[in-house]
Amino acid sequence: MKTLFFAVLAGLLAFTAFITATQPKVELKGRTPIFWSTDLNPLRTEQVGLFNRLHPKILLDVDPNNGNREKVIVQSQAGVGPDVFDFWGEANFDAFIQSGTALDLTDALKARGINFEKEVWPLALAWTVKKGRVYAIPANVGTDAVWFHKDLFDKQGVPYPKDSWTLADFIETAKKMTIRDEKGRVMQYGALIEVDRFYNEWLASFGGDLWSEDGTECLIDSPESIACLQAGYDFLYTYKVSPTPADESSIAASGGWGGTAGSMAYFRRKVGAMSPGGRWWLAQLRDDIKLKGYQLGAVTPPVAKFAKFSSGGTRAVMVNAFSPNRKEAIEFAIYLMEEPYNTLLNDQADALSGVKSAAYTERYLKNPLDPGADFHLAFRKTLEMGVQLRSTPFLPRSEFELYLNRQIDLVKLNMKKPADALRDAKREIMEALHRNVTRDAELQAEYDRRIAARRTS
Amino acid sequence: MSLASTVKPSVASKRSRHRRSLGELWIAILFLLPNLTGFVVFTAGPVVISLINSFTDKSLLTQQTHWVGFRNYADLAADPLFWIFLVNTVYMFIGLPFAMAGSLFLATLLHQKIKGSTIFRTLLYLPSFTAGVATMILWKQLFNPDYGLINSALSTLGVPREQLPQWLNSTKNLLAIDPERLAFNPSQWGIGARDALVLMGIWGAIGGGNMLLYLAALSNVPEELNEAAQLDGASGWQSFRNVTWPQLAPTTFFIVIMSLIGGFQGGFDQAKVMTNGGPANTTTTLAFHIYQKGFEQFQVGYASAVSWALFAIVFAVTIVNWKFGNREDLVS
Repeated sequence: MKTLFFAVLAGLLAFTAFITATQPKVELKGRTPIFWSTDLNPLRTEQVGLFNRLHPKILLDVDPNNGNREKVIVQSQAGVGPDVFDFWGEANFDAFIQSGTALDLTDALKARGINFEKEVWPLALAWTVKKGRVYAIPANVGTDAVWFHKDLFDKQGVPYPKDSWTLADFIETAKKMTIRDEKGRVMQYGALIEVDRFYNEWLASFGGDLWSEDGTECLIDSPESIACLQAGYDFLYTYKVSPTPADESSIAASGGWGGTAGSMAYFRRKVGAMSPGGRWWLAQLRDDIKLKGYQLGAVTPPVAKFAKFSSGGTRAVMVNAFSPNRKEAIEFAIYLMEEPYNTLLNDQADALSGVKSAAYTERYLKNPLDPGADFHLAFRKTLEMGVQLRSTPFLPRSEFELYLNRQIDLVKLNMKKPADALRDAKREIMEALHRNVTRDAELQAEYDRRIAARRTS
Repeated sequence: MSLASTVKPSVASKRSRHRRSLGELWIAILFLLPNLTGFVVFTAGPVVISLINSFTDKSLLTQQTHWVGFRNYADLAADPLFWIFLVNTVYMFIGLPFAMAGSLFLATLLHQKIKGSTIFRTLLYLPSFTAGVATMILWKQLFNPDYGLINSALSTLGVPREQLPQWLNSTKNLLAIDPERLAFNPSQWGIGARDALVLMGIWGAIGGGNMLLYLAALSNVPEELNEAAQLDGASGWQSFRNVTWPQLAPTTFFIVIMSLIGGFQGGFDQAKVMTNGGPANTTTTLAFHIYQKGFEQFQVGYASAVSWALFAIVFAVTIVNWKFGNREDLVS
């Protein structure tokens, strides 16, 4: 029996040795390999290639399969995380800092003479800087402008929308561009509005915000906030110029409830004449321009009350504090602030460059890949209107969204009035906030301090 | 031969046998060690750690962890969402009797001695070895209210467009449960996302493992019992009802228990792939809630408490089943 056991063991060891010996070897040639956890966007190939050409001592490769927050944090703490990784959104930004995964890049940037807060878009600062320290570099900055099909407008004899238009203009244009058949069924939607996105993007334009300045009170039941959600609802159910959730799901290529896949798919199929959408849509729309002869335009978002737009943010990159190759990873972070990368990014239309100056060039406006196009300017102008909605340190963003989205779902389904939904969401959010602060003595103390300061003031 | 001479070899042989069996034990342990290590590290260890975590405020976002006693359990009991998600989970059991009946029906058909039965068995077992995500995406297309095959078929049968189910886009349900609170709401009666998932679950379960279990059980029913019943003049149904069905009781009991356990732990894949827990959280089950708390909000302590609450519920349901369902007259 013993002989059998050791024979099996020896066999397994020999097999392992054989497999290890026959593994294909990466030719490093003295280069330090680093991994960038990012999405599977084909544009990354060129971005990585450029970095590797500019940094002959480092070999950057993409890891597209481990981009989720939970994976990055858990893998990093286990010592097998990526060297640099992408993230999107405030909830992730806070999570990576709190978990100690994000490396403080402030000193490295200063050492290279980079004045970070001056050079990047203000919209990107909320997800890159915390308490004066830089934890992330914007790989790109995105915002939604309003795309439209010029030929559909020509067909209806409706003039093209212009920058600085109002929400009332938008609604009127959407009504004119909505085409119904003899049975009243919509054949072409005027505007592809998704209620939840509309609420988040136009809230600042209505003069609303999510939280009070001190983060102690949720403001989603304010008259401005209710008016904003009501306006989003009206596109679907009052004016009937936008698809309902049932229509949305009809064209969603993948994923779950809602999402952005719907709008772009509808827009590409000309089922909608106008749609809020990002510059990154060009990755697909360029094919339509080239192969189907699409004529596209883009304008800044219509203004409700204030010329502010709370859409967008940054796909930012952090350096993993647990990485053994931090020095090389920092080189990559610096690369994201440099001219070659930002020019390439703008050419590719992978949203907009994180560095402002790269979008104020002739090359940006007259992109060699889009001859004759006049839509690039609208995205830069929209970024100039960009503001970040306030958040709170007293409740995780994901939990806030759980309650808010649940109520907005009911509005989308026409089951609840916007005012009632937002009031209920606020009540649930404040209850959750109180539960959350009682869990943490430090958080509770800070909350009490701010409440006291509020009463005094 | 003296007594001493007979005893001595016996003791010696006992010792020798003991030594040999000890040696074999070590060898056995060596063989088991890889599996045992995996079990301790990846199953038993995490289970114990999660129990400890459930009494702490452990979060992946902070380095400090504090002992909080039963506070996580008190919090979840006070959280209305927990109860709504529990109801969502239990709702999925609506499909259980239909799935079991379907499995039994298929097994009975496949038990007949007909040509090509192996092919039929393979075909009917297909849903079980087809990748879950692929089938879910397929079902998502089938449930499409405008272009899906199901609503197209219903339209062809004359169901008016405005009465077609909205499937994954609707909070309606067959028990008219309000989506916001645990209450009956007649306006919510209808077919919605929960029912869509139940329907998909029935499809997956009918031809799966339950069918194979019933098939195995059917082949163990002694032929002579049925023959005797038929000689006594029993019809096919009477023979099935009074002879076959009681013989299947242990299998049915096993299937019920396993389905309930699986059901309580289920719903994650469907929520993640098809609905993201919506609309309005109506397809968020406890398993998906644990994921959201643990891996989206990183409240590991709280998520562990939900896991153990779920374990307690499953344990209690199993005990009740065992006590009242495992009757001697049914099983023996």
